[in-house]
Amino acid sequence: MDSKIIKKDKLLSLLERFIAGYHVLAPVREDGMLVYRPVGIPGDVELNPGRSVLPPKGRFFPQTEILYSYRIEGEKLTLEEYVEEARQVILFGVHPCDLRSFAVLDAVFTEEPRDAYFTARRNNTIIVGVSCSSVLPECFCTAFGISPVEGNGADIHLTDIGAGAYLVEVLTPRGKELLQKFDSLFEDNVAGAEEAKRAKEASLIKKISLSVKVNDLHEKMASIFENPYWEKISRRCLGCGVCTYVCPTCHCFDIMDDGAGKAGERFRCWDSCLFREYTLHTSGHNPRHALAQRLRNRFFHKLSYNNQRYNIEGCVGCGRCVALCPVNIDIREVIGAVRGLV
Amino acid sequence: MKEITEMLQQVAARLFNEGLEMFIGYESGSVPAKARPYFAAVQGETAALVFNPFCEHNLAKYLVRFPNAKTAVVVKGCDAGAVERLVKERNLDRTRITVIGVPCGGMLARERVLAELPQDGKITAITDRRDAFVFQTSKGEHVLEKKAFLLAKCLICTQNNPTGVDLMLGKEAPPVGETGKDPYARVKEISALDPPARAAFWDRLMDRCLRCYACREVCPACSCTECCFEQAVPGWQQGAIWLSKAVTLPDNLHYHVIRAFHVAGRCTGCGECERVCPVRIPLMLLNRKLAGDIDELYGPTPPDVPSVLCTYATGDRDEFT
Amino acid sequence: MSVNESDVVTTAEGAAWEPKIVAFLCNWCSYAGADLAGVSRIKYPANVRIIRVPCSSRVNPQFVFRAFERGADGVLVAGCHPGDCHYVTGNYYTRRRLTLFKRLLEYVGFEPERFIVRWVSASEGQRFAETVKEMVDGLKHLGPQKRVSRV
Repeated sequence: MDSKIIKKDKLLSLLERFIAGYHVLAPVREDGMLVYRPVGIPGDVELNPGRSVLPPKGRFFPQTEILYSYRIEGEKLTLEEYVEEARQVILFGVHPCDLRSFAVLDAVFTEEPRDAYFTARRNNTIIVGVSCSSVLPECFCTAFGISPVEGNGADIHLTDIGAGAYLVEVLTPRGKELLQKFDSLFEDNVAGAEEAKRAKEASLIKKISLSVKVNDLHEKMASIFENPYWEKISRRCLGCGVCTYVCPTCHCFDIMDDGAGKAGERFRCWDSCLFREYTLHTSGHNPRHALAQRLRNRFFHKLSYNNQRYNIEGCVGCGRCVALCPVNIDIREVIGAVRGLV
Repeated sequence: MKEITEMLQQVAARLFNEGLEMFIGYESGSVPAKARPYFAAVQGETAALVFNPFCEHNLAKYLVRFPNAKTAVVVKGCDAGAVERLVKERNLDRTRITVIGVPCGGMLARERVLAELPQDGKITAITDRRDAFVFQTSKGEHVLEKKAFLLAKCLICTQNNPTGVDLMLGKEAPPVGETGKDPYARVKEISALDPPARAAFWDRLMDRCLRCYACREVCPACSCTECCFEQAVPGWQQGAIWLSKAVTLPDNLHYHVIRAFHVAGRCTGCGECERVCPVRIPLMLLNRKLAGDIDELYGPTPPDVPSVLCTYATGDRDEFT
Repeated sequence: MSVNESDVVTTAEGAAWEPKIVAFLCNWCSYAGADLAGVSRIKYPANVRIIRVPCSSRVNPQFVFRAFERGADGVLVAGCHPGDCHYVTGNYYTRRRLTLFKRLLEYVGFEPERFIVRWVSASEGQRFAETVKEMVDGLKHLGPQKRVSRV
């Protein structure tokens, strides 16, 4: 589709107009961390964000989401469902790795049986992607065939091409429709922009220190299920849920009820396969009683099961789990080890 | 740093000859300026052991994972108390553990260090020069003043040489904590706010808690095999749930207040809870508040008493009359 | 904080708001004290919901937090005076525990009036009534506890 140019000051006015007409979620700094928050002032938004602590998946799959509430009055039972109303939200500033993660989540939630809650939020959201400007030591998106400057999965994609200008790629009809309203802010002159983007891509990819091969991984995983490696690596694992909660593709949830007597609600919330009670049966039996089994399951899910089931890699190489694991369990090392083990 | 590393490797090798089954120490991490817990189970695995100013983890809690093995563990000054506590609460059999103390010159804040070092420089050696760490990198030498680069907890440290160890490596380290720093300064500032401002301060922080439970899992005082916050009962069993699995402000606050209270008088101040928090909640502000109050109200706990809340004095201060 | 000058907070429906107090009373002293207040026909506000516990030391601090979550505007724990515990030492433990817990609650932003611990003996019906009255006054001044309430 078409490309345009927008100058930085105009980008801020575009954001201002977004804020005026839509609910805008964008990366902002909070106590030195980058987080996605509803924004009211364009100046708060990080235009070249870097990696957020939590992925933007929470927009579609909130950590805690009320599904419905109930109320009993005399003989009457009232149920109220909470599927998000058609209110358009602009999710601004999503990097290519997180854009890919939406495809991974789509495979889980939007295939039959379709998840109404997720789908409603997904349909109500216009995604503005942004190319990476820097490479962090934990980044390895290229292993999964992701380019740090490509906006697949976004409606509109921005790339900072230097000199205060951004290349704007309109990638979907929805993106086109949105931008038409603000036509006056853009310039048509795109000579050299594509070259600048390619040059940026090359310099970024050069900085990704660790390149791992993953395309044949899921075939290799099967034969190392019983390998003592998993016990060994799990020795330092704490069994906390950091890696799963900061993962852009982790999508496990639990459904619980809150409330007592006459009123209450049913909600779902994120769950983590690293938690002991994740697989605990009512009988008391726990099929994954050892931490090694739970950690192994996480890596098998990321590197093998997801590919088998949905034909898309379960990891996007964002590096969040690597950066935030308190004991430095590094999925890139696991990949390397798996390759060495078989 | 090189000497201690070598000594560690030698000691570990010797202990394995004497029938050791597990050595818990540190190895270099997968990214620059990072160390991580390391477990050597046989003689041949000891060469990976290191000690450097990125060995911030408290390894004491790992001891409970090996209840039947002869185990050795490396402790810094702030970690030693945790081993003692686990023994005191009968979570560990002290006779099967060899505690190896290392003198600590303070731990560095990784983010600040990385910002200071050249991006593509490889760290080749680190030396402790008392008031600074000297980094040899492939791009030259860099002197990092401790005052500017140490972790906040190290700047108020009063115990950088471990006590109660079986084996102490190297020379005793000079104090790292800055003299005259009040460890309760921040606690006092918060206490001085009026209740709504205090509530706002905590609400903002607690609101972003993910309840990943990293703070609990890493805490050596959280030694229960089953946590009271764990939801091993289905939702319809009303009344059995004290803490909802929903991640909401009331539940997050509930979790942190009660967890801090459960470790009151048992927290050894290692600061691991704060270190592991992915969303940077300053959890030690809760623990330090309790520690300060305990100190003020009850003074030091006698050695034969498991914890300050497991005992009383008839003359304790009474604020309820 | 919703401070209301008139001491009466009005809810959305227009009815005057009355604070809810959950009171954990020890079986041997304070519950009997409350009973005495009743039999002696001492007037005190009806805002208090009493939960009888065997000893004040039975009150897990989590009960207090849970009460706030379940909509309590204030929580009262009352037990025998130190030295008079039916179980000899129970309330000494309570004293340590709840002194620290009250300070912690205040530190995280709860107003001091929300959580009260009082020693009330079986003969102190008057003291029980006064405690409740005092608490109700304090809570009316503060307004509803909405911070952690889920109801």
